[in-house]
Amino acid sequence: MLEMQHIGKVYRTELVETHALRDFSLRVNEGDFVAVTGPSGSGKTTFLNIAGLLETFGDGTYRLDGEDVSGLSDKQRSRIRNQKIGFIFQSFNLIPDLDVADNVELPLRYRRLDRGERKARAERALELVGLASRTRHLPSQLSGGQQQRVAIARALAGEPRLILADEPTGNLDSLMARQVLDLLEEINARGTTVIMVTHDPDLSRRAHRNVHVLDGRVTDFKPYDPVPGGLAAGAGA
Amino acid sequence: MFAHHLRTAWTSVRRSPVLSILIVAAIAVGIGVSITGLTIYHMLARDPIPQKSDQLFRVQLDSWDPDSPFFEGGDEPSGPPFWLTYQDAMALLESDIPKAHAANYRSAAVLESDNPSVAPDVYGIRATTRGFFSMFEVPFRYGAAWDAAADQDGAPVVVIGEKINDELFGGEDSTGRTVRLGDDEFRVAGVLEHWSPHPRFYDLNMTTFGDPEQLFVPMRAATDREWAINGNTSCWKPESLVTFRDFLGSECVWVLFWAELPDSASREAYMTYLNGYVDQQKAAGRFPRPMDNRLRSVEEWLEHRQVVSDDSRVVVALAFLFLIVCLLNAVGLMLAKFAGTAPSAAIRRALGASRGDIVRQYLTEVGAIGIAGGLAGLALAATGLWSLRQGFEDLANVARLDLSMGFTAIGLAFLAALAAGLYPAWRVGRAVPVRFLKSQ
Amino acid sequence: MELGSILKGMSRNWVGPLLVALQVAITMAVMVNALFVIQERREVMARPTGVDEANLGRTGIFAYADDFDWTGEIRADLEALNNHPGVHAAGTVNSLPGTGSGWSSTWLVEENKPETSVQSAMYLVDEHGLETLGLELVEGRWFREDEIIDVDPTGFEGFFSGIVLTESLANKMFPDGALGRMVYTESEDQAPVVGVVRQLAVPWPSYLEWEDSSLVPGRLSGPAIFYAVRAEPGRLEQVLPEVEELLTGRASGRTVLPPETHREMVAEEFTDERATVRILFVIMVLLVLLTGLGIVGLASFNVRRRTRQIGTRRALGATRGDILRYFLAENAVLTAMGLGIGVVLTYALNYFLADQFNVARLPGSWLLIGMLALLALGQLAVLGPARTATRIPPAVATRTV
Ligand SMILES: Nc1ncnc2c1ncn2[C@@H]1O[C@H](COP(=O)(O)OP(=O)(O)O)[C@@H](O)[C@H]1O
Ligand SMILES: [Mg+2]
Repeated sequence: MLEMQHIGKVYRTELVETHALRDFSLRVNEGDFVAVTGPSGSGKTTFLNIAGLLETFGDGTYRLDGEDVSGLSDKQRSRIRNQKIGFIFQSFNLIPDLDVADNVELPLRYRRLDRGERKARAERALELVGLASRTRHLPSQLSGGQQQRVAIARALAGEPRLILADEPTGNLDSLMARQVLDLLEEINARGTTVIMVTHDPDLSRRAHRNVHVLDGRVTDFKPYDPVPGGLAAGAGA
Repeated sequence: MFAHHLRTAWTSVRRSPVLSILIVAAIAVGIGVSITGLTIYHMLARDPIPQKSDQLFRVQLDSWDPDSPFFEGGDEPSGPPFWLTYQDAMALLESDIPKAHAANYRSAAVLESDNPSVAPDVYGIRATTRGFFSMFEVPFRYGAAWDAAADQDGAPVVVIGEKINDELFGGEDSTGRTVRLGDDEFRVAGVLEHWSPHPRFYDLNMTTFGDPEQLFVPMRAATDREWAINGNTSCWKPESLVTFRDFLGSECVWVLFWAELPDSASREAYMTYLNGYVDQQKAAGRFPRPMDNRLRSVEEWLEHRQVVSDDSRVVVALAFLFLIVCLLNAVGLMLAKFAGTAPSAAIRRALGASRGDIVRQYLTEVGAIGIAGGLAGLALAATGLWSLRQGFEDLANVARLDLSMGFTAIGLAFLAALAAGLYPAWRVGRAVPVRFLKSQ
Repeated sequence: MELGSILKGMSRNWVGPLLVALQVAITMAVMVNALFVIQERREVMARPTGVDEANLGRTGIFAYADDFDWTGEIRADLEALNNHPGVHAAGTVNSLPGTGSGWSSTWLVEENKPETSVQSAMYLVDEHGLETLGLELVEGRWFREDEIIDVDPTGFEGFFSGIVLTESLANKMFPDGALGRMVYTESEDQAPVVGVVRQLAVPWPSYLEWEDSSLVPGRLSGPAIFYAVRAEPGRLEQVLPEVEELLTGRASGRTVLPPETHREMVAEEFTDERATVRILFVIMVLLVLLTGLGIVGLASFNVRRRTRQIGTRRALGATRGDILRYFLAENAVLTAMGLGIGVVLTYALNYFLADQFNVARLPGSWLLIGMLALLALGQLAVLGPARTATRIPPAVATRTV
């Protein structure tokens, strides 16, 4: 599904240069469920952004679905995001002015689907996350867990091949976090590749494979992991 | 508390200087434009002699053509003519009902002086009877108006303005000295102080906002010399006009006539007198129209002659709509500005400030901004009026700020800013404190 | 494209959009009406006077010496003027068109029939008049030197040997040919129409029909008279001071009236109109700027407020074009709402101005043009902030908490 080789990413500000990723290589197969862990500032989000074509990178090559994406225009990248990738953010990022249904339909709009098709797909996605009854609610009228489920429905509505989730449970309590993860597992079970960044070892353990990022590199060494099984699962992939 | 509000306002202004300056600018532009428009209107509409404008009356007798209107412009097509015939004006001077009265017209002559450094030049002249000076409270620096005898016999005497006195006589008391007007020696009877009523209500024939004449001579002295009429002359009756005498005896109207009537009793008496005079003339075969004599106060006269132009009213209307747009802009800017300070307002609320305290705090700030905007707007208006004076000679006496417009500008800006700030202040005051505190 | 969501967004944050919509509405009302008044006033000022406006000037003399030789000095003045290099022609006049003061006269088409009376401006001109004013004679002839009589506004003897009418007045008085017809006065004088000129405006901008003028061979009998001076093309500014000097030096016992160009005199007469045009123009420009800035302000505020939202949209696959179009569409909706109110306001304002003041009814096309102009203004104003929005990176969605 996705293959990164020797990716480097440098952030330059006036004062400092940060090597957010260096010599970052990773392969994710179609249908995988990968949990990305690592300390704060290690480069997880950067990896996810590059994987999702939100950001460009400096060195290395990146093939998504067999296609080299390094030379693509902004417009082409937008299209790929829209058609192949679904994002789930830590802070949900629902558009506050739009109600639930409109939020879910949003990626379909950018795909220029007609109204009927949009409605049908949004309805299906909302049903999947169990919020079919809340279509006319505004984000501010929902709980955090509900908001994140809407965000998941939005990510699913376009029937993407790859779901990228950046700490999707970071703003949720543990019960809601588990619900969200149930949902992601279900999606993965239907064949969608899922890459999820998380801090929570309980959650990462449920992934097929764990990738640990440290200082901008993929490493198998997980010094903070209190559960040795996690390491085994990561190494086993 | 107010001092505290003021101090907080100043801190707040300093915290968002760009927004504050933009708000002041929005108000200033609005005030600048509306005060510019309003000043012109105000100057056109102003009472040139407020202390007795309701006691001074323009006299109109309807001696005009029975078959055609006197004037077709304006709102009243067939009222009496603006001016009197010479014979009627002379007849009315016989009445002793008015406290004062004056028949007059504008003429021109070349003035020569003994002063060799002053070249002969053409000057406008007011040819009038002496009532003019007392009636219009024309101030004298030296000497006085000529005596009643000069009105009768047309003695060559002259009252001169301060400007001419400065030029010819270096500002000295020149009474008793002479100037040459149209090749005749005129003795200076008096010298005026600066006197310049705007609009020049007593004669609206030429430029309404011109300065008064600098030379005044007895009407008789001018007509004896057949000095031309520099104003409107309107004739309707087929008459043979060969000599100036014929003209003076004709039905042509051209003499301006004013009367001072201090109370309603004298007004009624004078009207009765005028009607009696016209009846008498009708019996003699004149005044073919139905009786229609008018006494118009200064204010009514200015209104009748439409001194305030429609255009100036249009400008005021549009300028005020412009002000409204500026204020809408200011409201938007204030919302943005206050949104930024909402958290600190929330802290104040949490510390026990009431909603009213918060609203008052913001209104203090808005009021201060309004006054700043008013001052800046006044400067803009002054600039605008200055550029109008530069561009249009005739507006030299119109496009001028006076004290009342200055106060109007500041007051208007203050009120406008308060009006614009009311909603933004209320919105911040209404906000639930917790929401902002949490988001900090 | 996203009309529904744009409207919903506006209804959630309605104060800012409402303020701008109202601004757009009032701006439209003021702009269209101000432009209309400006246009009306300019039309009045742009009316041709029929004389060679660009090259015509006026001076004159005011005599004061008792023994001043009026006729002789004027003849000598004119001879000197007409021989002066740069002067095309010079002659005496009582007034010039569009300058605010002059004479009017009542003519009768039929003798002793007051009901056939016609009002017109009356110009006193001499034998040089045709060349001096630069009139176009379409029929008949101009006046000869021996026809010029002395005229005093307060009475004179005799009457004119002929009269020249403008085409407009001739058509009004004598629809089937004016030349040779008699013109009568109420005081039983008469004169034949000896010529017809194409065009000559009256002296007063707002009194009488603009082109109802008549010309008679006459010359003021003192003490003051005007000389119209027509310069060779383009030489007026140079010639006028020379003329003043020439006249001043030529004789004593009189003063020379300061020369003015015809254009200056007309401009002065139109002070009100010109001042109105200038003020309204400034108001309009400021208003358009202000409303443009208001739109920029609201849009910038929105872009800043929606940074994360825009990043999210980009993450979900919106292209830069989509974002740009979103803001343009949002502005179009906003402006359209403003213009909806604006149309009503514009008409109401015009109705008020037409009802109260001397302003005409607004033609519908002006409304359309005003709407298009403001729509364009809105799109132009929002372009800057919208482009800023397109530059918001999609990564904002993951980076901002
Ligand atoms: N836009 C940016 N500009 C500069 N530095 C950045 C930027 N984004 C991230 N970084 C830096 O890059 C490094 C990796 O960040 P990130 O990928 O967000 O870490 P993680 O998600 O693992 O916490 C950090 O040191 C962070 O400070
Ligand atoms: Mg992160």
